[in-house]
Amino acid sequence: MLSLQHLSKSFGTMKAVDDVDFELHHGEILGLIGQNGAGKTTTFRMILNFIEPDQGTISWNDAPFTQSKYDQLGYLPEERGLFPKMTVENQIIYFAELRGMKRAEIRQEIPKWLSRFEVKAKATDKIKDLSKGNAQKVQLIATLIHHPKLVILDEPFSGLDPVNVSLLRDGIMDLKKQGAAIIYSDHNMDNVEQVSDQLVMLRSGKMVLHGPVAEVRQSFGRIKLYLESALTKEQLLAVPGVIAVAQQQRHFEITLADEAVGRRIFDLATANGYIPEFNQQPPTLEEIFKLKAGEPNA
Amino acid sequence: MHKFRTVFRQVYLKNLRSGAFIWMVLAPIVIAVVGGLVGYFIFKSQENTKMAIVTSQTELRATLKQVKVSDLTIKKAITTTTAAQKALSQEKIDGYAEVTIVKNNLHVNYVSRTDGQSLPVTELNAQFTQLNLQFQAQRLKMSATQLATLLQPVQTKQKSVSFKDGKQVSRNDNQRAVNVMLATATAVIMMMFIMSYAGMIASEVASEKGTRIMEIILSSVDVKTQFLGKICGIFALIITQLLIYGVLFIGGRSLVNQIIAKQYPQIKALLGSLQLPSIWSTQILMTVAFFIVGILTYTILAAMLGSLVSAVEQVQQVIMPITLFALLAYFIGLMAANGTDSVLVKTSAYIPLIAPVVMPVRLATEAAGTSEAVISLLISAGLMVLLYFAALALYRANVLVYSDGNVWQSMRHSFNILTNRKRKN
Repeated sequence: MLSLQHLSKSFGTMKAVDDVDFELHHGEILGLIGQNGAGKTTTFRMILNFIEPDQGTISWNDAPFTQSKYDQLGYLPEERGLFPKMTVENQIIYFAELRGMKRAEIRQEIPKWLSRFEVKAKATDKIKDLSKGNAQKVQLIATLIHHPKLVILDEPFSGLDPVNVSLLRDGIMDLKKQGAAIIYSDHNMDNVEQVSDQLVMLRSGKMVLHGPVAEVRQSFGRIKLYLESALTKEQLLAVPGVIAVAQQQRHFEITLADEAVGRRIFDLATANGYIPEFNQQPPTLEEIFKLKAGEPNA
Repeated sequence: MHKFRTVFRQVYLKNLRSGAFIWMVLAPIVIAVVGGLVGYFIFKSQENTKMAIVTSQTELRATLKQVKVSDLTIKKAITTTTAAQKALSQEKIDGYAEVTIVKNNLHVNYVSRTDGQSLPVTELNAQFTQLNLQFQAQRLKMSATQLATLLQPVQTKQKSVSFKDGKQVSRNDNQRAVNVMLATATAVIMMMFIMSYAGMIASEVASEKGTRIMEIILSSVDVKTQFLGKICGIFALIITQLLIYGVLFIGGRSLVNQIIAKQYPQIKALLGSLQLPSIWSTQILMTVAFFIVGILTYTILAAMLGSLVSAVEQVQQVIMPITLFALLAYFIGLMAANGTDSVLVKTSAYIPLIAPVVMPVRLATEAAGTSEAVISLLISAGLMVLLYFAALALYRANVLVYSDGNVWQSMRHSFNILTNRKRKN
């Protein structure tokens, strides 16, 4: 289990991370979200021992995360880096050897991984001759080939096309099945929603959201209403508790002040019987993200 | 150990196969071979001066045949002034000497073409003077003994001396020239290698940092192992390079001895007259030791400086201070090679970073002895060890600090990190 307790870190007068506190169990995936500069990478770097927290502690399986545990770690940095002149095989071998794997073992594994991630390159091709997507997959293989127990992925999906995104998603799910604790950052809320067991949102270094994805959404109540009926925009706006109405042809996307307003609109809309659509939902993660990011700092 | 080996092998093999290393190994050989070939062709293309010695007095002809000057071909077939003039006009000879007897004395009239090679008049005059003496002795009917006494040249002896470890050692002028040459070559090669290896490691560190590979590496292996692996990888490259030269030196020497010396006995004679240091001599061993300590010290510094920058493009800028230091060492080395024995040269032979260039030069010119070299080497090696730990501490603080500002800002930032760490510990 990875445990971060009351972690804080300042650079000069800027508080990069402020009292971050969460736990991540084996076989669990945590999505770390937040705007650029919210403190995601600093949090990762503290877990990785690159920088020391000013306050708080980090533990891995109830002990400090030290160099002796590096072999259990898989880390994909935000900015990808490979040696351009190396071959795919040598590159993977180098990184995997640094994680304590044996050469022969790595050689055996490489073809499996290349085909699993559908890398369109031979093991003997040079990195510089690969497309960006393929190079990124090679980097991922190098991150995961040693079956790490703790995986830290800094924006793993950025720059991947939808096909590769689903390949990577499958890869992450497999790791989860094998019992790895996975923490990753992302700007795509759809990914976060589909992959994560829990999420943490940082704003200016502080945790503003934390918990299982569904719970976080539910905590905002069913304040989103998707409606198709005979009602007009004006009629809808006249209902007390309706904050905003967006219209797309006959469809309305209505933001409510609270869940109860939905019942009032349902009664109005169904006064004459059948309507094709009434769908009351909690806000999407993306909407919550925008909402939280836009809030003034507490 | 497994991880150290991985880093070590990576640094060693990657650079061993790089164009930069191959060129670094070949450069001195190429320069030596090209220099040798140019010298050889200049030597070959210089034909002997050709001349004729003619006389109208047939009784002189036998005597004149004794004239012999090195690098001068005397065309014996040309015996008359007319024939000589004709040969001169056809550029078959560069000039001729017409010998006559005027008032019982030999009289020599030199004629040479302005566009031909100049006649060795001084040597010829000496020979003609001797012939004149012989001619006079015959005319005065002197005995052979009297003649021998008369012809006896002044007895002279020449000797240059130098002092090695307080003992006087005989040297000839050629030896001095060779020493200066060896010393200059030592300074040039040292400078070249220091800059190459320093540039190599600084780029290596900067590119790993710039491409963020450093983050992956440092989340796999602790920074001390990585730093040591890199330095040892470079050390292995230096040893490889020296071994290549060692093999070439031994092979080349037997080649010279067996082939060249047979065909060109004069080269063998020249080599024999010189004292070239043998491969296991103290001088060579000390030079190699300085070579290793010098390059490693600069390598350690360069690795530290390379860790300051965020992109490989900034490497040249950041290693400027050590480039300047190496240049300073180089110039003082050249001064020492040319025999300057000033306080500056003497002192700097003990200053780390400069000593590895200057001391071997002073050894080569025999301005310093083994004991002085050993002291200087110990000082340099001591500083190298201290620098290693200082560089490691800074490297640890630097490698993950990315700054868009200049190098000094990065350095300040690193120092802050370092002092924070110290405070915490």
